[in-house]
Amino acid sequence: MWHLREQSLKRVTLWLLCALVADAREADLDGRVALRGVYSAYDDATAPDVSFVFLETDAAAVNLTGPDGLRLQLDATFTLDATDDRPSIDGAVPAHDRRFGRTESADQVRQLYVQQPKLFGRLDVSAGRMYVESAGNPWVDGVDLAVRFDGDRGRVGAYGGLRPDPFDHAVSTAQQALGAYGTLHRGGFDGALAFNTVLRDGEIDRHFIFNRMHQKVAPGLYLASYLTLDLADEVDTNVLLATVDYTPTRALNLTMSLTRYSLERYRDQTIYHDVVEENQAVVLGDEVVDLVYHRARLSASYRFWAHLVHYQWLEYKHRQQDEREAWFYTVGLREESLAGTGLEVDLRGSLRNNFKSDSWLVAVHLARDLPWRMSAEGWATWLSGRSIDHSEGLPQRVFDELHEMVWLGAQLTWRPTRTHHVHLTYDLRKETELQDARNGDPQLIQTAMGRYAWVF
Amino acid sequence: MRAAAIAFVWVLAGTAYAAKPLSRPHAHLDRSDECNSCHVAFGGVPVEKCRDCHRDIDERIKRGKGYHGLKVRSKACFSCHREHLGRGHQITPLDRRSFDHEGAGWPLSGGHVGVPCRECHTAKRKRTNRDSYLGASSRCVDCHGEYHGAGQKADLARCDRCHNTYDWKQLNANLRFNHERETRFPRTGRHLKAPCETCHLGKKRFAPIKVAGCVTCHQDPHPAGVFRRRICEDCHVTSSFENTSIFEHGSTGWALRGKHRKNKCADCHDWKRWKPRSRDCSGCHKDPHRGQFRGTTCSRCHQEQGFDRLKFNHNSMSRFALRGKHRRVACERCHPGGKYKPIERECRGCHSDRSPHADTFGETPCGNCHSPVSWLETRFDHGVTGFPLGGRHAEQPCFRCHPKGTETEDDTRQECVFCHRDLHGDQFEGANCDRCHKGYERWTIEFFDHTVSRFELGGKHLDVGCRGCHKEGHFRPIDTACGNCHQNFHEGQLSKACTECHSPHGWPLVDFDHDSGSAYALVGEHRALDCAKCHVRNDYKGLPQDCEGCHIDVHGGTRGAQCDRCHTERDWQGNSGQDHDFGAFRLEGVHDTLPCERCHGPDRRRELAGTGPECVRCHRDPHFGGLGPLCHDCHTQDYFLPSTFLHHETGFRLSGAHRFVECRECHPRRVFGGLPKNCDFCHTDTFRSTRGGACDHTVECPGGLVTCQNCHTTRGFAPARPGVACGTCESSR
Repeated sequence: MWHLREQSLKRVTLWLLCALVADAREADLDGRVALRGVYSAYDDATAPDVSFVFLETDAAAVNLTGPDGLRLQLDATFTLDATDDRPSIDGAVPAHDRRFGRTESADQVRQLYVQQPKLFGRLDVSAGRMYVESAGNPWVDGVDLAVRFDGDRGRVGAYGGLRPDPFDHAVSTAQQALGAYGTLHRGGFDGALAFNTVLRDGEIDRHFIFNRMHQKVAPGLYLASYLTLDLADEVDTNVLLATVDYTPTRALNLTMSLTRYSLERYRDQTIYHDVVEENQAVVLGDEVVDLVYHRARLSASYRFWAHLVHYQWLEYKHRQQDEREAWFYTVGLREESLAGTGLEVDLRGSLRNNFKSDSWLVAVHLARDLPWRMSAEGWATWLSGRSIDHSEGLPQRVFDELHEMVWLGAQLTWRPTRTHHVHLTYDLRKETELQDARNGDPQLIQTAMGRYAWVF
Repeated sequence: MRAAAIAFVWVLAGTAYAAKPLSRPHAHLDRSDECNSCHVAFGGVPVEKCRDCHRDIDERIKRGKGYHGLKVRSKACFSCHREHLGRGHQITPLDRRSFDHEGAGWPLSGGHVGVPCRECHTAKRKRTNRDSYLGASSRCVDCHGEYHGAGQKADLARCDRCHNTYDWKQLNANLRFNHERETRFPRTGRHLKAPCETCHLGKKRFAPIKVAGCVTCHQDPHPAGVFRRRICEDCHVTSSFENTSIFEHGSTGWALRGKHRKNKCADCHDWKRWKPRSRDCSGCHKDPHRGQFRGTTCSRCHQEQGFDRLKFNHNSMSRFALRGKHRRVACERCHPGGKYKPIERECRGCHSDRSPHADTFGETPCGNCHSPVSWLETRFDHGVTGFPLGGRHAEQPCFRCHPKGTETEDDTRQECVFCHRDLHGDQFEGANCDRCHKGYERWTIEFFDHTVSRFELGGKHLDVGCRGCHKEGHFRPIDTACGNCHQNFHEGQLSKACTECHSPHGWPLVDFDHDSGSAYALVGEHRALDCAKCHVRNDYKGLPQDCEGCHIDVHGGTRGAQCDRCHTERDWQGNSGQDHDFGAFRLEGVHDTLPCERCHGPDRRRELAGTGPECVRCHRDPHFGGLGPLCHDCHTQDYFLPSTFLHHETGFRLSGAHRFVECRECHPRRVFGGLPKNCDFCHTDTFRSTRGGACDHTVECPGGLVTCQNCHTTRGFAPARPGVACGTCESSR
C-alpha cells in the first residue's frame, strides 16, 4: 500500500492552475480562485488566537484541443496556516490544533480530471480524480467511461480506480472503488441508477445502490427522490430523501420532505479514523450505535408582492440512537426592497425543541447595495436556550443550563470589476456565563475574515 | 239492620234500572224475551250483536269504507247510538253542520261545501225506505252526469284530471292531460295556444273528434276548386297560416329563385284564378324597354336575383364589345333615354366633341391611333414617320413633342437638342447623346457602359446616380481613389486600403470577416449589430472583448463574471427563469457565483427545481452520513468553514479549549448524541498522568474526575480557576 501525500497533489494542482490561468485565452475557462483569511480571537489571554489563509480554486477548462475537445476540471482548496508553527501556550492547547484539522484535511484536491467528451461521437472518457455524480458521488482516482444514447438523453457508464483517503485526500491504494451507472433524461424525467462497490484488500468493504429521480409531474409540481441503499451484510437505507415541491403560482411554494439518514456502512471501519480512548471504550462498550436520523419537513413560501416573501417551515426529527425527538418551527418575512430603498430585510423567528435543548431565536439580516459597486450586509441573532437532560430517569425535563447568545456580524463586499471580488466580514459572538456545575464564564469570540476572489 | 240496608239498595237499583222503551227502529225488540238479541248476560251489549243485524254496516266496517269503516271503526256502537231512551229518541243523531265528511273518506271542498246532503245521498233504505247515507257514489259523473257526452274515452270520465271542485270552468293549473300523447291529434304551432273550445265546440265535443283535414275546424279561404288536388298541409303549417314556405314551388314546374322567393303568393297569384295566365315574365312584369327587345326573353339579360343584376354580356351579345374605359361608362351615357337599338357604333356617335386634331388626319378612323383603353395611349406606329419611339420616348404623351397636336413629321427635327437641353456643356463636344444615353431607354446612366472609362462600376456604385460622383456635371477628368468621393471614416486608425474590408457592394463590411479578420468572432445577435454599437466613438482598435466592455452588468457582479453562464449571444433571455431565491432553497453565497453547469450538468439539462436544501444531492458528505442531512445547520453557503454549529444546543456548550478540539475526540465511533458530559469521559488519561508528579491529582483531588471544575476551566487545564485555594496548582503555573 502506498500513499501519495497531499503535498505532492498540491504542487501538481497549483502548477496546473497557473498553467491554465496563463493560457486562459486559448481555452474556454470558467472558475474561481479565492484567497480567504480567517482570524479569530477569544477574550481570554490563555486561549490562542487562530488564523488561517485558504486558497480555494474551482476551475473548468473546456475545449482545450478544439470544439468538443479535451476538458479539464479542477476543484481544490489549500490552506496556508500562518499559526502552524507557533508554540503552544504553557503546553495547554496546541496552537496548531483545530477540530477540523483531522476530521478532514483542509488541503483538498476534490476533483482534478480531464475529460474527452463525444469520442467517436458517443463516448465520454474521463481520467483523474473525480466525483462520479451520476453514480451518487463515489470518489475515485481512476477512469470513467460513459456512452451516450438516445440523442444524448441517456448515458450508461462504468468507472473504476483507487479510492482517495477521505481524511487527507491523498492518493491511496488501500481502497478501490468501481461501479456502473445509467442516467436518463427524457421530458420532465431525470433519473439515475448505479451500483457501487468499495474494496479493501481485495474484499468488498461496502457496496451500495444509488438511485436518483426527479420528475416534473405538472407545471410547478416536482417529485424528487434520492436513495442510497447499503447492501453489505444487510440491506440498509443509508440515505433516503423524498421531496414533493409544488409551486402553483409564482407567488406560492409548498414543499414536503421526508428524510432518513444513517452512517455509511463499511465493514472495515478504520475508514472513520476513530480514536477511542480507553475510558471512552469503557463507557461506550462494544455497543453498536444505531445512528439513524429521520426527519420530516413542511415548508411554505408566499410572495405577497414583488419584493415581500413570507416563509415558514415545520420540522420534525427523530434520532434512533436514543429515541429522542425534536421539532423546529421557523417563520420569517423577507422584504427584498424595503419601501423601495433597495434594502433587503429578512426577519426570522424560530422555536427549536431540540434533542437536548429548548431554545428560541430571533434573527434579522440586512443587505443593501452601495455606490461604487459595493454592497453591505449585517446580521443579528439573539438566541436563548436551555439545555435539557432527562437521561437520568427523571420524569420531567430538567433545565440544568441557561444560556443566551448574541451573534452580530457585518460584511462589506466590493466588486471593483466583475472579475475581482473582495469581502470583509466581521463576526462577534457573545455568550453568557453558564449557570451550572462547571460555571462557565461568559465568552466573547470575534472573528474577522477577508476574502478576495478572482472570478474568471 | 244489615239485611234492611241491602234490600233498600236493591230496590233503589231496580227502580233506577226500570229501562225506558227502545227507539222506534228497535221497537220490534222491545219485548222481555228479546233482551238477549242485544244483551249478553254479564257481557253488556257487544258490538257483534249490533253487526249481526246491521249487515250493511258490518260489511263496510270490514272493508274499511265509509264513516263507520274509517272514523269510528274501533268504537262501540252504543257509544253513539244510545238506546232505552224512549220511543221517540233519535238513535242515529246527525248534525249536518258539524259532520266531519272527511271521516267518511270523501272530504267536501269547494262547491261541495254547503250542498244539501240529499243531493248526493239519494239512496233509500230497502226495508224501511228511510233516507240512507250509504252507497253514495264518489264518481263525479254519477252526480254531475256525463257533461262531455257519452262515448268519450275512459280517461275523460275522470273529471278531476281537468276540473276541481272550486270552479268548474277553471281547469287545473297542473292539468295532466297530454293531448299529444293521449290523442291521435298531436298539437303543434298555434294549436298549442288555442283554447279547447275552439276545436271542441259545445259541451259534448270532447269526445274524440273525427278530423278529416284542416277543414274540419278551419274554413277554406280559397275559392272552391282552386286547389282541387292539394291539401292544406301542402302549403300551410300550424305555426302560421301565412307561412307557406313549406310549399315546394318547384313542384309546379316553376321553381322560385332570387327575389321571387321573397314575394307573397298574392303578389303573383290572383286569389280567384290562382294559376297565372303565362309563365313568362310578362305575365307579371311590365316591359321597361318598350318592346325594343321583342322576341328576346327577359332572362337573357336579367336575373331573378334582381332586375339590375344583369347577365348581359356586351362583348358577346352585342355587336359592340366594351373595352378599356368603355367598361366603366354607365349604360345611360351611351343609351340615353333607354334607347338600346338601333345605335351608332362609330366613335363620333358618342364622342361628338370637336376633333383635337382639326383636319390633320382627315377621315382616318380614330381607332387607327386611339383605343378605348385610353385616349392618350395611342397605338400609332411612330416608326412610319422615320422616328421610331423607344424607351422613355414611347412613354411620353404625343403632346410632349407635338405640343399643338397638329404637327406632322415635316414640322419636327429628329435631333435630341430639338427637344432636350445639353447638360454637359462642352465636355462631350462632338459626341452624340446616344453614345451614353443609348437607346433612349432612360436618361439616367445605365445606358452608359462605364467599362469604357478608367473606373469600372460595381456593387453599390451602380445604384449611385451619375451626379453622386460627377458633381456639378463634371465628368472628366476625375480621380478614381475612394477618398476622392468618400470620407475616411476611420480617421486614419486603419492603415489598410479601404478595399481590404469594404467593397463597392456595401459599406458595412461586406467583404470583412470579423471572425478571421479580428480577434473577436461574432456569434448570434452580435452578427446583426451595426458596427457602431460596439465600436462607439469610431474606435476600432484595442476594444475589450468581454461582455462588460459593452454591456452593463445589471447584477453588479453578484452573478460572477461569466455572463454566458445564464445568457448566450443567441438568446439573452435564454436562462431558465427559475426563481432561485424563492421556495425551500435559496441560492446564496458561493452558489450565486457558480456556473450553472456545475449543478445542472454540461448541457444544463438536469432540472433541480424542488429538490430542496439537502446538500448531499450535489456534495459528498465528508461525515459519512453520521451527522444527518441538514448541512446548513453547521455550514453556510458563504463558506464551509468555520462551522456555525451551535453546540450548546446539544446540552454542552463548547468553550475554551473545547472549541478547538476535533469532533471525533469526544465523539468516538461517530456517536454524536447521548454521551456523558462529565470530564472523565475524555480526560481520564490526563487525570492519571499526573500521578507521581508535582501535582498528583489522584492524591490532591480526592473527589476524582467529577470535581475537575472546582479548579479548572475549559480555557486551559492550567492555570486553575482563579481564587481556588489549591497551592499545588498555583505552584505549577
